[in-house]
Amino acid sequence: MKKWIYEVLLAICVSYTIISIIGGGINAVASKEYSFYFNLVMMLIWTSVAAIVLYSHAFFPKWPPLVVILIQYVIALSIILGIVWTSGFFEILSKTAYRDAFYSFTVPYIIFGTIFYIETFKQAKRADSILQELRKDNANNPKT
Amino acid sequence: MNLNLVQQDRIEVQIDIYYKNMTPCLKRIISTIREEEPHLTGKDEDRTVYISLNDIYYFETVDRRTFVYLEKAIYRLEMTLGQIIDNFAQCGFIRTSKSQIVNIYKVTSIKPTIGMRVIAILENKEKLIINRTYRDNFEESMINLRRRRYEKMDL
Repeated sequence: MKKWIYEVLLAICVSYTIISIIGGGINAVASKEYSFYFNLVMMLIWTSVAAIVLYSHAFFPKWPPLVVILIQYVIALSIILGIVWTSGFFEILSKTAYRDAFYSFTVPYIIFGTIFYIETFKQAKRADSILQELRKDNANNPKT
Repeated sequence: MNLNLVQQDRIEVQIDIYYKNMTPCLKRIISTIREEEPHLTGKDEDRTVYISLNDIYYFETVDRRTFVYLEKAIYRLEMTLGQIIDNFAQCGFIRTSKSQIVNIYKVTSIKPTIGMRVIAILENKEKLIINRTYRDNFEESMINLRRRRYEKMDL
């Protein structure tokens, strides 16, 4: 059931992204209103950067996760601020562009980072509880 | 030769052999018993050593060589970690990382660290890191072991 929910959510997310980008592109061409489409594409780029950087943790299995999370944050934020800076060559940036980018990325990152942190501790506690049960059972009845 | 057979519920099979001289017959009996008990043969330089699974703390591969760690000794094995898991997972051996397999019955506790690592503390106080990518599988393997034990007890 859990796998099914995960797959359905994944399908919804992918479909929604594709439809939004294609639909936004068609609307932008038809109405010649590019700012909404530009924001849409920027959000896609930011999300992609964040996902790629966050998923790179698998390449550093020997590093402590907290260190990886902090390094990932610095790298992802640098890339995002770099994208904002680059986009400044193509359109006028608002005065709060960098601050907005910082908050837009940092707040969700802290929320998800905290959830991941709590989940790690809960998982360890859960695993320890099963282990103690196995040990107790093994002491009473060795390797049945 | 006196032979005593005592049937008791819920007790591990125990065989004690009292002898004055090792005879071919005794050797055959011992050999049969050892074949029944899951075991491995490790190498310590030129010596080949018989290793009971109950004595194993963990396995580790270093430079494509597999080593088995006991409480105080280390031996080399002619097996891969994949083969060990295939053959002995049901005996309580669970993968903690790409290069390590732990004997769950030698783990005293599992604890998280401030750095968000999860470590398994062994009876000999050694600590093994349970790799992030193996954590779910580690927990699942323990649940499977627990289920198998309950199923056997119910029989």
